[in-house]
Amino acid sequence: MLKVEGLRVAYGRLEVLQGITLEVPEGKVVTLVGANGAGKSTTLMALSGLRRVTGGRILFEGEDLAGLPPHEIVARGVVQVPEGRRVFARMSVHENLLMGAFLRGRRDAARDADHVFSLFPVLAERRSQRAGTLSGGEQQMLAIGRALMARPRLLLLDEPSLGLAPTLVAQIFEILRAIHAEGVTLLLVEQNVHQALSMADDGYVLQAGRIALHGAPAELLANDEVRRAYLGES
Amino acid sequence: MSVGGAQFAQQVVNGLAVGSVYALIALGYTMVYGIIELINFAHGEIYMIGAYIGTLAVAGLLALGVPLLPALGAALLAAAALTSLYGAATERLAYRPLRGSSRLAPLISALGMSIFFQQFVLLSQGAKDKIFPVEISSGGFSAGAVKVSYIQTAILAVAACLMVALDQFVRRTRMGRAMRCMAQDPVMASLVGVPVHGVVSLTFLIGSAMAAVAGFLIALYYGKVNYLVGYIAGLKAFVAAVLGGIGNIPGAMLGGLLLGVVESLAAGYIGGEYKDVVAFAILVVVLIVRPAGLLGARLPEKV
Repeated sequence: MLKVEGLRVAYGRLEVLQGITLEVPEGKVVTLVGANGAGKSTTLMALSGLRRVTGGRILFEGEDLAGLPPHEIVARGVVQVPEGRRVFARMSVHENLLMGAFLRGRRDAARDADHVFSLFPVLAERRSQRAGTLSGGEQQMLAIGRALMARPRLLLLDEPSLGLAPTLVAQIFEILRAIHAEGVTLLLVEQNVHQALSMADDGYVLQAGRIALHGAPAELLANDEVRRAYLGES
Repeated sequence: MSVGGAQFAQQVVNGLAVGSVYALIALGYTMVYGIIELINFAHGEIYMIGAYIGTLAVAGLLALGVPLLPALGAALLAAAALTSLYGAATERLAYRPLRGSSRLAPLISALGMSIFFQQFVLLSQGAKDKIFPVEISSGGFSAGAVKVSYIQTAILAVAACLMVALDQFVRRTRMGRAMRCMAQDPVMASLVGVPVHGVVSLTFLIGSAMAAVAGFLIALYYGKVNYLVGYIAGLKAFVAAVLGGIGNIPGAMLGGLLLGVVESLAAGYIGGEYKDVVAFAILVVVLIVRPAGLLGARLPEKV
């Protein structure tokens, strides 16, 4: 479904991504892990058209997305839940969801909002509340719900568990599993390496702008280097 | 009503008429600032161009034998439509190419556009006042000693309609929501599929159309325009926008009306030459007490 080939992104003269190659097959969950500053978020930003690609290709179903503006990428079904949730704080929960469906019809949006409310009952209770007044976990649910409103085919998630209490982390991963079960392909960037690898079909380790390792989650979890660097084991 | 009360009420009425014109112009400043954080210093000139186009259109239509009221209506629409293209073109040519560069660059470009438009109108229309082709009856409605002229009534009615329409547009429509999203988080807006450039263009179209209406109404009110009227009106409207809280749409409306009324009261009770002193003194006081403006709940938030 998604094939990234030799992706390069530079900030000025600093090359943050130095030729990344990865593949996300349809219906799978692929995770991208790595330390802070390795280029995980930059990768997702480039996929969404928010960073200028200086080299390589981003093939989504055979079409190169590099150079397309962000809204055209959303229109093709590649939707991102960015780091830090970024809900529209001064809008209601319901308006946030409507914005998620910006490129879709009004009637579809109403039906999909009901679906999101069934996935996240707490959002239904708070539908006319300002998004800025929600708790961190609720905001994360809203950010995911808003992305679902765009009917993603490939959902890009940047650190969905960041800053959440352990029970909420478990709840978020449960929801990601449910979304995947509905047929959405996921590319998941996480610092919570254990959780991420436990639900993924395939994993990539990003190190200083390059793919350092690629393999099945079990292999990566067994890899000494991964254990030492990301799982806090010595 | 006592004589003093009537004088006060009359000044308030006059102030509301001028203030609603400030408010219409201020909306353009505040909407553009809200979305791309640019003080569009060419906005006063857009208002001036609207006044010229409206005046020229009325003259042309009357020469063709169109009756007065339809001519005024058609000229108003023509001024709004053509001027909005000037505004959107300015954004496209002078500001968009500079997006992503330092914040100073588009500001300087805006100052340049302001000078460009003044000179453009000076060269094409001359330095002399352009006289509005018809004299509108000075009659009006009166309640006791308080008079509201027909033109003041028209200004208040048109401005009120536009403000209500804008408020509903921003609150209830899909593109209005997109504008609010852009004002809060432009990156996230693009991630939900909002075509960012399109929304910016739309903002300039709407803001410029409202400035053109303001220019037309003022040309009607004072009976003349010249190429410099955009400077002081633009400055006043900018003050109104800051007073209300820049970036805040109801704030621009409130700031405009308030500024108009305060000026008018100052002119009536202290003397016409003091009205600008009072207006700017109030701005200073408000900014000391509430730096974000009257309705600006917080200073611009940036993550």
